[in-house]
Amino acid sequence: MPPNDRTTLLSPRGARWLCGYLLLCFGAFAMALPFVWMLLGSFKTRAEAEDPSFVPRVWQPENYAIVLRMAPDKVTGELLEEVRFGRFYFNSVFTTLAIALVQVLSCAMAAYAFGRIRWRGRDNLFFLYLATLMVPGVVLMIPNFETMVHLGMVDTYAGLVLPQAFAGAAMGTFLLRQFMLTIPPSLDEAAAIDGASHWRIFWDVILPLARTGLVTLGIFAILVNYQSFFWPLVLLKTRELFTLPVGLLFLDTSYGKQTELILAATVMSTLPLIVVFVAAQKAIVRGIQLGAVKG
Amino acid sequence: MKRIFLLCAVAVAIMWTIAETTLPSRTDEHGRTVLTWSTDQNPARRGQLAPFASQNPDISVMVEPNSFDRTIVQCATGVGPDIIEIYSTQDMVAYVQAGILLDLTEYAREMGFGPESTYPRLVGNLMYEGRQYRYPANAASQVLIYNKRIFDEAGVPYPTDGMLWDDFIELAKPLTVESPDGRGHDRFALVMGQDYVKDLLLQFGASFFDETKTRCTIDSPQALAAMEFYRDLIRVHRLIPSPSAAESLSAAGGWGHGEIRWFASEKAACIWGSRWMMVIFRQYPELHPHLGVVTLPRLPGGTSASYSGTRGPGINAASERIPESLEFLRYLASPEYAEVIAMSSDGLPPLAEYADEPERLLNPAYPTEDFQEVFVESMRFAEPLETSPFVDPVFVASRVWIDCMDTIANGIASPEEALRLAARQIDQRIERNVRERPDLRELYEAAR
Repeated sequence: MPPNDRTTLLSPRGARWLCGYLLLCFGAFAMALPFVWMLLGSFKTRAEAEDPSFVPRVWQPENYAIVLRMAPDKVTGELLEEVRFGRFYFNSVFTTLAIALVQVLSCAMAAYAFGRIRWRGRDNLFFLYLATLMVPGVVLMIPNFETMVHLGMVDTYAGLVLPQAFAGAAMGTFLLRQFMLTIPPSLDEAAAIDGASHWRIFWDVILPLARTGLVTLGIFAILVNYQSFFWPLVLLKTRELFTLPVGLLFLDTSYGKQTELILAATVMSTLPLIVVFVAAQKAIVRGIQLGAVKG
Repeated sequence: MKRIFLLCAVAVAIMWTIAETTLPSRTDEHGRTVLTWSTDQNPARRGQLAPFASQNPDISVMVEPNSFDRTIVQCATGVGPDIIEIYSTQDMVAYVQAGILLDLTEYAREMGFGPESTYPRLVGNLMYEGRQYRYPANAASQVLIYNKRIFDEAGVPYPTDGMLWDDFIELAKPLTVESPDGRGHDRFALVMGQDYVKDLLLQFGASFFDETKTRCTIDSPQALAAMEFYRDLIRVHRLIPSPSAAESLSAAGGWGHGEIRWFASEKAACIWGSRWMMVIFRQYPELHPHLGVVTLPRLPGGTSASYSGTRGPGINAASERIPESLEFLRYLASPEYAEVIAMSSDGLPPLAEYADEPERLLNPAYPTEDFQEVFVESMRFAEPLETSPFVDPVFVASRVWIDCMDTIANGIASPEEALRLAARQIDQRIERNVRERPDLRELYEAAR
């Protein structure tokens, strides 16, 4: 809380407040520096792109047009035929939203079962479910891929969405269960007395009250899966299915890394994440705090 | 709440429909056989495939992203690419040991893409235990590429072919320039990628393994001399930047070796490089006309030795299109493909006959690249990287060797300590592999 009177800045409390804010400003500046460098670097020429300097000596805003295939590459004089940036962007946004939707729904249902219904072995099974968090993702890569092969989902959108949607199930279920535990059980009982089934209670009573948790999980799902690289790299073969992280590999080949174009593409790629984060930062902080407080 | 979920589901369904309906057909519309070639997403592949397409109108080649882990996962589940681009000998050996690559020996003999068609010094990169597993798409050995403009401005004479190291060090010292504020350097005389430091081992007569391949010899006196020399190039003569200096100024990683960027930005006077780098330097019109190339410096009585390398595809043993894939490898041994590589400067063409006429390598569009014979000459001194069947070559090259070099270059450990540790780690891994695998144990006993 800032001091009310300017003269109190000289007081011990005011000085502490000032120091705290200066420290936070310094931290924010340090965190923002790489993004600023990335943004300014996206306007550099290829020769200058990896210089440590911040401000470009020669401004080249055409980098954005080159990435979008609206202008030829400055060095080769050719359009980037292989970089279907618009398509990669669409795939990233669409698959991320699909993954988030499936994950939120499935985790909500699981959280309801683990948090609101009493049944034998519930807690033991939940701990076992949580134990899957300890299995590294890379260990599951080949079995998951083999499952995709058997289901005929290699190089498909379904293969891109479904495994990723359920990959974060344990954490998402845990998060939502914690939210649901804060809802008084008397609401379930009242609805049950009125003849509501579990499904009705879940949809009409619990979900509306767990809205904050759902939003938090959805945002986490978006932030994590939008940047997913290895699974799309392994799964996909058709260029039109590539998401942004895989598609940008076209700009880093044995013919040289087109750093200025990678930076321009990354700036454009990061915009949705920045929008989501700024719009929902309270929900994100609440989600991070939740596990720490309730435990 | 239901409405929100419903709206989201409808939105996703609409996007999914748009996405699926705008996908191209997965089957070739002309009924051609589609080969998948896992390689880096290089725009040059289009030009390299054009003659193959015209020679083989019933085969279409689709390029996929290349990644070692991706290939392993896909091949383990039976849906790997037909043609796998392999960028190093150690990766090839790893694929062979995993049972992924097709033994090409008999096919190559019949179809004319055997080791006799390419450079003798490259053959070891294609073979494992006497069998051929890939064919080169290009060939590389190292040379010294230098910026004439920097030498002229410094009033330093150009380096010459096969200069002695002592002479080169004295020549190059004035080319390392400190920053005016004394806190760093504006330019270094020489930059050398981590991959190429191994070349010094070769020049000093060291090797990774003994003749039986059962013991690591990276702690030999020759290897120690090589690494002490490397350390001195950094810390005593200050020709090469230290890793911390290099990291502070470059964006390394992936294909964009930081050293190439340094040299292209004229922060280095020389680069320990290869012909394929010309592809990148051609993108710097202010730099390119001022380039010169000579064979590497050498020790007295020694040669301008370096490890040979190749970007060479192999065939997935589980591919359902082996005849078509073999046709692709035969194409790589053709004069049409060699001409494409020669003109694009993507390494040396795989056909050894170009070694007899280096002038055929000169692209008329780049007349200043009149040093093609140097690239051919350097291949005469090249050696393939040795591997051992008893240890994972990726473990040796990508973990142990990199860690060893980092500790030496950063002064964390002396060359002797670092090399002893590296040798111990590799020998321990050999012992463990031999202990756990009976098939290897037999081979090991026989070798000893």
